Amino acid sequence: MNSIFAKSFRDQRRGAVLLGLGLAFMLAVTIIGYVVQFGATPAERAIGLQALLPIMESVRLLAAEPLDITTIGGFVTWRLFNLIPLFTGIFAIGVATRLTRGEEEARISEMVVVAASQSRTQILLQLWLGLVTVLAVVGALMGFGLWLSARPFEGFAWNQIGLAVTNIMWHALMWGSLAMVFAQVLSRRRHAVAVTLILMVVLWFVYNLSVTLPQLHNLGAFTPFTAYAANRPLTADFVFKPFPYLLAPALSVLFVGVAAVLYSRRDLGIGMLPAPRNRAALTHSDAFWLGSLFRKTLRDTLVSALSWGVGMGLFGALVVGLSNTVIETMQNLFPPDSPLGHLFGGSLSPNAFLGLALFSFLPVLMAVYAITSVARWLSEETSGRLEMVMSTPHARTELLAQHLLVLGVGMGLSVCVTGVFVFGTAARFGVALDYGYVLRGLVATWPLAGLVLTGGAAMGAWFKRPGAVIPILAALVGGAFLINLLSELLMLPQVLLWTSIFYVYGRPMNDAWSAVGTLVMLALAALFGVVAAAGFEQRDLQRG
Amino acid sequence: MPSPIISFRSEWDLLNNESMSDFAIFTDQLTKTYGRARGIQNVDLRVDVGDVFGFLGPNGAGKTTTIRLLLDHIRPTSGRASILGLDCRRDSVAIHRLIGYLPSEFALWDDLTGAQTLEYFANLRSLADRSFMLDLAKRFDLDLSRRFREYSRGNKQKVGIIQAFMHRPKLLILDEPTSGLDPFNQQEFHRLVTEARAASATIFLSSHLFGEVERVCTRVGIVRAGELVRVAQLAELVTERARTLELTFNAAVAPSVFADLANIQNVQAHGNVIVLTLRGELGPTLQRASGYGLTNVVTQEPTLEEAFMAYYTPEP
Repeated sequence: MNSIFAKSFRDQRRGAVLLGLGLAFMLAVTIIGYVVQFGATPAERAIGLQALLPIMESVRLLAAEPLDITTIGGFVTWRLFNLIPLFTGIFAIGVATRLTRGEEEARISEMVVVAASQSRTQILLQLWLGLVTVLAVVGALMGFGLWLSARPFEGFAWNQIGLAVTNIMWHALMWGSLAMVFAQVLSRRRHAVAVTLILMVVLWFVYNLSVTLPQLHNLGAFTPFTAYAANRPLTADFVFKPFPYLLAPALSVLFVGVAAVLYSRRDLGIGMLPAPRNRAALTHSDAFWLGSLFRKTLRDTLVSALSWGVGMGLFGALVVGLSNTVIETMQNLFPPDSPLGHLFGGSLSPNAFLGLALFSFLPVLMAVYAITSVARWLSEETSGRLEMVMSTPHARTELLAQHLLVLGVGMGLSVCVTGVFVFGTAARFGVALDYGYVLRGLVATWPLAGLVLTGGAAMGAWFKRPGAVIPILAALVGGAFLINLLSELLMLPQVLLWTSIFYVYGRPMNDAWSAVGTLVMLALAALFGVVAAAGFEQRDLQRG
Repeated sequence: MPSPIISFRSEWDLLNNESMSDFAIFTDQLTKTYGRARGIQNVDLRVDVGDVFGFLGPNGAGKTTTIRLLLDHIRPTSGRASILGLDCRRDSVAIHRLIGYLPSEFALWDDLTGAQTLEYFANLRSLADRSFMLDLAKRFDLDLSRRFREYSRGNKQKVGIIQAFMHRPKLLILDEPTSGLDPFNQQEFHRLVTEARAASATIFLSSHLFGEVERVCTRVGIVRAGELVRVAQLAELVTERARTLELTFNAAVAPSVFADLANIQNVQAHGNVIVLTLRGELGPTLQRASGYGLTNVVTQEPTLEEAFMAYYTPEP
């Protein structure tokens, strides 16, 4: 607490430790699962994995290039090291904008600037060093988890862990530093987050498309992910390429330099871009959207609901768009009359492929969206806004019911938008989907998300401190995901499986799917809604 | 925790000789505890309809806790409260229709303009006529086109004041209402309170500003460490405090002349002048002095601040 740097690190340390431990756990589960499934030695693994190599090649969207996948390092690089930079990048963007624009929005930075007796450049550099330290903690925990998990097995290039982890963290730092630049230009933290995040995700998609589709190959040169992927330290034939490795830290220094210059020259409290002029008079749109509690809540929910819908829809569209290519590859690999063809026979239809590639992830995305919806509802109380609304003539139950209803409508809208993208892409690319199966897969995500929503609302209503709800809810959803993921690998008992919403969601693209689980989740969602109402009715409102 | 006491109107009326509907605010042994932290204890408060009631106390004394109990934002550990004859727990929605509330600190939607914010509150209150709302914005010189996050502290306070007054409520509960306002807008606020009182509204005003309370309030309640230690007419509270009296006579008078008067202390003679400390009624002292050739009287009246501070500093 004796410097701005130390205070910045202190404020973000919990998130850093949680992310570091989470990534370490994810790596451990992947490594152990890999060894259990494919064998302890590279020779054993080669038998099972060589046949799957063409499929790995064709499904490049979420994973890296499958090099050296018979070793643990190669497999981890293929399976996770294409995704982890996204997670750490998101985290770095969040931290960087919170430390800069976030503190400015909270009017903390003005007091700090006056109290610190340091130049603004020095202050910004200390904030940046806070970000560097936070990312170092994440990297250290992740590296330690990787070392601990892979150490018992032969052939793991554990001496390259440092290089692999720093390669990831340099990129996280680069995105964080860029977010600091946008935090100087834009007057709102959320705008800085959105711009940097969209840029990162788009470039990530462009990179993955460039390595998947030969005609887009040249586009990859314009994304930093190409430089990141140039070094794969955990693969056997790795050769260190210093220029791509040092590109991200060099860009980080450049970005923080730009941010420091902007920060030292601009007015505190406002962005560099002129704010849009506000209207003096109310419009018809205002009159409608501010006409009631329901409409105002709907107004506040629509943008995020549509954004999630479009995001999930784009993901669905990409999976559907790729499905014919993947199925063709699999059919070539496993002719229907071959023994493996019988084994993989069920995976050779677009429905089965979508079940694997889309409907394994869509419920997770919807659950995450539901958690963000719970966070939005809880923030009404913790910010103090609810106190003002609660002094108007509306019953508590009415207020809660309208919020939950709107959030439920928002989730339904997201599902509908996703469906439009999925069905539209299927029609455009001539993918022979069974629309009824896809529809039930989409519809069944709604009760799942509703259950997370009302469960979170119930916790928020009964917990003394609503701030504890989101971490607990996220942990519960994460636990449910792991139970479902590891169910076959660890042969988990049926009773435990039924506690996972993702297991209960089932496999809607499969004939064995039953609507019972969906109805149970719907009933539980309604029950938690009642529990939330009862809790909200009796609780002492926080002042914010 | 929900209140362990269930409200039954008949029982409620039987328990109290006074009818709660006679009062704008009525609390009976109202208590709120936060675990080990102090809330309020056994607060018995009566605020008459049409009163401008000043609620005084230092930070953490329990003023805001009392207000939030009245609004049903938090629930009592024990005791009860009513507003305009309605039970604060059971009839909270009906009560909210009748009141205007301004919290001491509040947050609103950063992205909404002042006009949008007030429009939303007007809709939440089903307010058909916006003319008074717009008139208030004009009186407080509030630029309604700016977003809430762009407002200064004082302008945010103006938004809060307007949303509390715009539906002409029967009871206004105002917690530190002039916090952040400049002197001109403070004056405008005082005019608004006077107008509301003239229109038979009751005003419950929690404040640290003694000048403001002296200016607008008729009765005052003092809360100390979670307990309501005094409720009195403003004038009564001030006059009951010890005041210094300077009596000039046409000849020297011995201090012992006043020794047997019960409400007199510290009598000192300075030539023809007697200086003494008087508590309570002035009449008996003047009557005694008039028999000794009294030629002049000078009194130093105590202020509300002195009266208030007396409850927080031990008497010498």
